[in-house]
Amino acid sequence: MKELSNEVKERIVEIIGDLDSLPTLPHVAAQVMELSMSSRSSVREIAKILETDPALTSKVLKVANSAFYGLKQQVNSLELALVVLGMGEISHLVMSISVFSAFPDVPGKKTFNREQFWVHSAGCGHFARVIARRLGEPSLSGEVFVGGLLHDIGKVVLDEKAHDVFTDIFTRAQEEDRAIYDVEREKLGFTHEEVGLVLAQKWNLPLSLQEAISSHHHPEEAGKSQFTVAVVRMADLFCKANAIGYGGDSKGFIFTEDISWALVQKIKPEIASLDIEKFTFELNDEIKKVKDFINIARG
Amino acid sequence: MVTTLTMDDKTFKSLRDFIYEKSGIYFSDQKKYLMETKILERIKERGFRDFNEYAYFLMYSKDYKEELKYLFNAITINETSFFRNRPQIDAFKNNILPELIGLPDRQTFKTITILSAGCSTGEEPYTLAMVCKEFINAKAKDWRVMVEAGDLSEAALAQAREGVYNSYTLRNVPPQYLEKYFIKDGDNYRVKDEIKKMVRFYPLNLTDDAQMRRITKKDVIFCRNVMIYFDDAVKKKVVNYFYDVLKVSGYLIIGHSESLHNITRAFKIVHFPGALAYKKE
Repeated sequence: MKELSNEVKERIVEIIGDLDSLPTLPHVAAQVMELSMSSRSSVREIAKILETDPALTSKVLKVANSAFYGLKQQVNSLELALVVLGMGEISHLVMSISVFSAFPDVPGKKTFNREQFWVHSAGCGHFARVIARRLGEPSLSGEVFVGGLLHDIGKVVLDEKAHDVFTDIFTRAQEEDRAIYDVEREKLGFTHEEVGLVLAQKWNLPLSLQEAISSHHHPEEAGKSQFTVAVVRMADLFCKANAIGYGGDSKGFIFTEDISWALVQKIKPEIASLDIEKFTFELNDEIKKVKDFINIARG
Repeated sequence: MVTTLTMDDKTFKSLRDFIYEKSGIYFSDQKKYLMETKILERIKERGFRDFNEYAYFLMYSKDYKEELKYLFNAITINETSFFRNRPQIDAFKNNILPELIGLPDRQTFKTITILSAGCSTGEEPYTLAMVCKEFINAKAKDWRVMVEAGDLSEAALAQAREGVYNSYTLRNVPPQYLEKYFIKDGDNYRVKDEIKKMVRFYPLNLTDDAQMRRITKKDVIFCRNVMIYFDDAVKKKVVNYFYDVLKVSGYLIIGHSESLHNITRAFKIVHFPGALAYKKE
């Protein structure tokens, strides 16, 4: 697990300002997250907390009934949603929807297009979910989804808290066809991974999500959640392959030579027989669902 | 009588998987409507009861190959145009060309050679020639590009050599290219000689061994939406020829929804934003 040294933390504060000014995770999401991680909590308890936020509840039900899940039955109540999708999935869904309220789309200076950013982020999350399922790990789908959705969140923080600095980095990366990550490292000495980690720690997110945020460029550096991080990284690459990439360069890459492939293959050797071409085409068809999800979550 | 007028998702997906398995082409969800319309015509013509019966016929009949050919033609019709599938053209220009001219073994002759296999009426080879010209003028002034373009149809080749196109075929051409490399000719546009000079057209039958053996070494081969009509055995043979013809580090580019997964593992699959290519290592 990547640790933030005091020196890096100080540098980050210098650039983005006081950490107290960072957005907070909506209370309900924080509570649901915490409850779902405890083995003693019940469906009833989670439902009770969620019911205090009717707008959020209605979004949860809308997503649950959308093509995003493709459920055969109609899910009309929170209790039913919790039973059908499970507490873990619902808490991750609550978390995802809440991210949009933590970073509302307010008018103001923006270096990059937020719409595209969220399509990329949610696309990465959704692709990660499809990959986890394809690899026979449906229980990880909630976790990898939020991991994908949040992996680049440090970029939004940088854009909002250090707009001019980030604009320079962004422009330079585009002009030189380099990854934003590389230019950040060169100019700041840290990257959006560390900035994202600062936020994740402030939000008290589970370690798996902290790792997805802090190590998605180098999944080999992740600790316990290496598989999750590798799946998120792979999903990020599939976004690039389907041109919903954001912030990377346009250079070509070979899936089977990426570190994420080796890490996934260690646990799931069957990935060796994946038809990469067909899978890429199939994921492209999934982008519509991603957009539907964003519309509901932001709406 | 046709009772079901729409194709349910399950039927669509099993047809799609069948077609992919047999031909390596993937019909995206976006193509569902077109596929539905074309199959419906077929259902009426041939007197099938519904989509399911048609699907059953296609998947289990001995004549499925003929029917597949019919479907491809119906679904992929009228797609030839300049700058067809932009992400592939961009990957070629922004990634593949710069990579090739940076390779040590290409420095002696400073020449990039390209084959457009199944070039039809010339839109693809001319597009590649223009893109290369732009690239060379901007970044590699002392380099030369040669485009060879082959097709089975003499009539198509004659039209290609003529180099006159209507505005529909030119709908995807970026304005700066239109201005620079075409001359307006009544309602049509004529490709300028400086581009024509870069392209050599000749008759080419990809399934003819003697002709294939005569092809000289290439850096890049484009063969888009041509091999979908071949069965696996022929496709394997053609792809093997392509592999032999390519120089080391050269690329083969096929249609944007085509796949060689069941045909070869000899190439490395390289992904670019919105496009993939097969690289000989």
